[in-house]
Amino acid sequence: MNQHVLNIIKKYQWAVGGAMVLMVVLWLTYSLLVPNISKYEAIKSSNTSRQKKMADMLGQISKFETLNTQQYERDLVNIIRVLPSEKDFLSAFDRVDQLQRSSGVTIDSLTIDLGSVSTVSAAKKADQYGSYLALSLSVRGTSEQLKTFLSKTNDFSGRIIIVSNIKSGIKNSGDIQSHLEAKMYFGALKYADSDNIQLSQAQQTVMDKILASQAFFVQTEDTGVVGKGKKNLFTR
Amino acid sequence: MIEKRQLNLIILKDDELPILKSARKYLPIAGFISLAVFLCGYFYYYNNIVKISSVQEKIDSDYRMYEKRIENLRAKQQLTGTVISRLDQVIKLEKLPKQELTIDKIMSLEDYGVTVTGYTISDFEKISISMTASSSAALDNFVEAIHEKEKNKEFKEIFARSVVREKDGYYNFVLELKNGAAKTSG
Repeated sequence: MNQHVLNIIKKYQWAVGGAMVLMVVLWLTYSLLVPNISKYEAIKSSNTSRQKKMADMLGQISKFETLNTQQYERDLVNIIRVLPSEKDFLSAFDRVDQLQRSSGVTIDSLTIDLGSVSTVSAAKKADQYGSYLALSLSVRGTSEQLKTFLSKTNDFSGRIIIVSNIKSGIKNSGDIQSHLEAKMYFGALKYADSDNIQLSQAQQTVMDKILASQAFFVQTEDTGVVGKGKKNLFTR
Repeated sequence: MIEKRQLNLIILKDDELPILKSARKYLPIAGFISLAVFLCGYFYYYNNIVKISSVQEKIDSDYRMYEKRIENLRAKQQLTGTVISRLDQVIKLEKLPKQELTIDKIMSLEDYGVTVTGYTISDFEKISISMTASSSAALDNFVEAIHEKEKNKEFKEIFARSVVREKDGYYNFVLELKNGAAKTSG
C-alpha cells in the first residue's frame, strides 16, 4: 500500500509542482504585476497630459512675457469712459449735458432711475447687454438737432447711451418735442483670463473708433468731498 | 554460466485518465513558462517605473516652474481678457439699430406729399407714424410710395389705421409698421 502511494506521488510530483508554480505565479501577477502595470500606465498618461499642458503653458508664457501691456492699460481707460465699471451718476448727468451742448437740443427734463445707491452690487437693472441705468428725457429741438443728439449717444465720445423708445410730436414750426427712453450701460470689471493677446479685427475697429472719438478727451478730476467717509455721493 | 532471467509477457493495463496524463506532461512546462513570463514582465515594468518616475520628477518640477511663471503673468492675462470682453460688449451695443437712421426713414416719407405730425419708435422696431395728407390724390400717391418702401425692405408689416378727413379737406391717418433691414440712402 505504502509503495503504491509513493508510486503515485512520484508519478505526479512534477505535475503538482507545476500546478503550484502556476498558482503562485497567478497570485504574484495579481498582487505585484498588475499594480505595477497600472502604476506605469498612470504615470505615463499623467506625464503625457502634463507635457501637453506644459506645451500650452509655454506658448502662453512666450506670448505674455513679451507682451507690452501699456497699450492695453490705456485702451482700458478709454473703454471705461464709454462703458464704466460703476453706475457713476455724476458722469451720467455730465454725459447728458455734454450731448445737449454738442447737439443743440434743449433737454427740458432728465430722469435717471437711481436704483440702489448704497452698494454697487445691490439689485440693479440688467439685460442681455449688461447692467444699465434707466434714463428718460424730454428733448426739444429741430429734427436735425434730434438726429445729431441720437447719433452722438453712441459715438464713443462718452458713456454709451442706447435710446430704445422715442415718442415725438412735430409742431407747425418744425420743432420736435420728444420723449426718449434710454439706457446707460455699465458693468463691474470682471477680470477674465484670456489666451488671446491680439484684438480681432472687429474689436480693433471699435477700439480705433473709441480712441478717435476720445482724441481730445480732457479728464476732469472730481476733487469734491461729499459727506463722511465717502469719496462722493454716488461712487464707491 | 548462463544467468536465469524471468520474462513477463503480460501487458500491464494503463488505467491512467487522459487528463491526468496531459497534466503530468504539460503542467510542469506551463509552470516554468508562466514563472519565466512573470519574472520578465515584473522586471520589465519595475525597470520602466523606475525610469518613468525620474522623468516624472523632472516634469513635475518643470510644471511647477511654468505654473509660477504663468501666475506672474496672470495680471497681464487678465488685463487683455478684460479689454477683449469689454470690447465685445461695446460691439454688441454698437450693433443695435441707429435711431437717427430710423427717423431719417420716417421723415423721408414727407417727400411723397404728406406731413409727418408725430411718431413713436418702440424697442427699435415698432413704429407708429401720424401723418396728414393735403388731398386724396396726395394720399393715393403716398400709398403707392409706401408700397415701394415695403418692396425695398425699408419698412415691413405696414398697417394703416382709419383715415379721418377733416373739415378743411386734410386727411389725418396713422401708420403702424416695423423697421426693415434696409437703410435710407441719406
